[in-house]
Amino acid sequence: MEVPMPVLEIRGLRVGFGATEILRGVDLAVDSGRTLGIVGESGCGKSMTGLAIMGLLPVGGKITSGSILFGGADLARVGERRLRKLRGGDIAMVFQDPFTSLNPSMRIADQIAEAILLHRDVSVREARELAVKQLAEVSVPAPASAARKFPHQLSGGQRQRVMVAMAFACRPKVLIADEPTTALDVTLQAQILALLKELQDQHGTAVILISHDIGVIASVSDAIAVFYAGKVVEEGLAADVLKKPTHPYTIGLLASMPGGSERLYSIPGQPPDFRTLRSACSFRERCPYKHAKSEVEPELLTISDTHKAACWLVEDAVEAAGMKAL
Amino acid sequence: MLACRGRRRSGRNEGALKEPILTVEDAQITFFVPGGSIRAVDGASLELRAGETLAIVGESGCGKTTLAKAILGLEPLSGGKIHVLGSAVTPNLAGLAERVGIVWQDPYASLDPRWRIGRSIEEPLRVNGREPGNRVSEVMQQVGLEPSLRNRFPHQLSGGQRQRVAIARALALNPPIVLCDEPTAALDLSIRAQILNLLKDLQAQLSCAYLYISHDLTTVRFVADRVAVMYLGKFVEIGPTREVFSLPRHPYTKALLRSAPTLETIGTLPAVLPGELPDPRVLMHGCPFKTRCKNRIEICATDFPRPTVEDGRTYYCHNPVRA
Repeated sequence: MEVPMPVLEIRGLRVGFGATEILRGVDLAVDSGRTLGIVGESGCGKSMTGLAIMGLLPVGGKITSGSILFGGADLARVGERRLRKLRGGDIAMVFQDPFTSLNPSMRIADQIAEAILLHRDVSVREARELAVKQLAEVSVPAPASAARKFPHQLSGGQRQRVMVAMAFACRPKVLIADEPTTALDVTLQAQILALLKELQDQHGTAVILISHDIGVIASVSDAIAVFYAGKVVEEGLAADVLKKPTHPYTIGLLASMPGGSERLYSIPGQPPDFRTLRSACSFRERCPYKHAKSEVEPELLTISDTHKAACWLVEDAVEAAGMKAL
Repeated sequence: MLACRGRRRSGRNEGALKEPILTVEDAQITFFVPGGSIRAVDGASLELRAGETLAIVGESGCGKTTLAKAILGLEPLSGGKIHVLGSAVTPNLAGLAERVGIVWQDPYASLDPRWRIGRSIEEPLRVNGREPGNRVSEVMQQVGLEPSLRNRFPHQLSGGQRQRVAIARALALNPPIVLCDEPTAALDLSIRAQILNLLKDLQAQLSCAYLYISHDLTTVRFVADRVAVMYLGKFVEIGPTREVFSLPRHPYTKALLRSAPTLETIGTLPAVLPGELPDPRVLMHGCPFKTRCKNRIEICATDFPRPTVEDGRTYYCHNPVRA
């Protein structure tokens, strides 16, 4: 089996706002046609990772070190002009709320055509025709008439379809979907997830799906990265992370999903304040295991070829297994 | 996929077959909009019994929040009746807060950012002419907040603490009914778990009844004794959560359950229910779900089904899902 080259690879990415570091060395990779699910709670850095890739960090945010490798270039180092070419072209993004991310005073066709005109050498007229075609591709009913409408004249589900149409308009190689279905009902969520999957399969797009909903992540992801306090604390194939969670944070997160028991587990305490983080395990204060080495920050340690966790327990388990082998 | 896990119901709920403390009878709420009228709630009936949790689930726009507002007296009925503890809900709201407490979705929006939280919790007491005394500290302790936090402002608290404040405020008058409108939708997973546990603990302690409005089916399965599924202003299936979730009889209930992603189905997309809620301005004859229903038969186009009562559950369907 040939090993696919990742289409996008992030290495040691650090992002800071002044003295506060909010991404503290993130490594990720995603292959063509595959979906990487990023899961974590508010403020863990999952959205910032998406924005860093797009070069859209909020004012004051800066990439301090690390690289974002895409198409032979390091996006952490290229200029704004180059990024502008990529954004909406080879790398596209779908945001959470279609109501705030669509321009309320612009007709649908013009909004989609805008993206096409920026990246493809076509006339305005052709771009509008492509926009209608694009709407048909995402199954918006009566695409020609929908194209002439304003966002408020469409239903919530149709608006999110428009967002997807826009994102796929230039056949991106990488799609970053940041909570694409969080504002939607379960029925519409299922429709949009199916649509994303269909377009992904059709175009071989690599998808990075960011969500706090583990159910959504479980249903679409090939691989999963769990974020905590600006770092990946566990990563692996979806089945590795969900069926054999190893980092106590992942275990706690999964246990707090309503399931069979009368009471839910809840992780004690709160996520750490980024301003006071130091070089030690960031989960140590909430961790039920309190490892002796918790004052030293663990790197991602290998559990299997496809599964890693940033926890000293992994080292213990490997050692124990080694002892057994002897 | 959604096989019911063996779950022990605590003893308090077995005694839940008490007299209803909230009854909604054939409620109708109509909004007049340009181009016609919308029947947001169209003949909905339900009963909430003392000490139980009844969840109302359905898609955005199905009328669940409108019905909640009517129960609070904030939305006038155009037909039907709502009784809380035997007295009819009227636009005169005097004393209603002593009977129904409310927890809204977003504690950041539902608390006044310029009020110290002690004042927010105290307000329902003052408005209803009660002397707060030490009730504020008492109710703060009940929801797991240090009474010393009473001088803080909402922005100084975490999301979970803010929702605890909202719950404390709802409980200040010790109402027998608490209406929860998506109380955990804005919260992270681990905080959500804390709040859900808290709601359960408070119910066990205070034996209040919850009317729990949500579109999150996993949460509903956890908190609710009974569930009422709403579609386009009407209830289509009401029954014990365990039975309804393990064997839905209405095709809409089944579609709703199957469209929710779960951890049991890694790598499998949830099933798609095609279409969206139809335009509510268009008056519809027959069953409201007929435009999206797989089980549709001829009669669905013209007649709304009569209720079928079966093992403690009621559903409205001409051609229900078979086991």
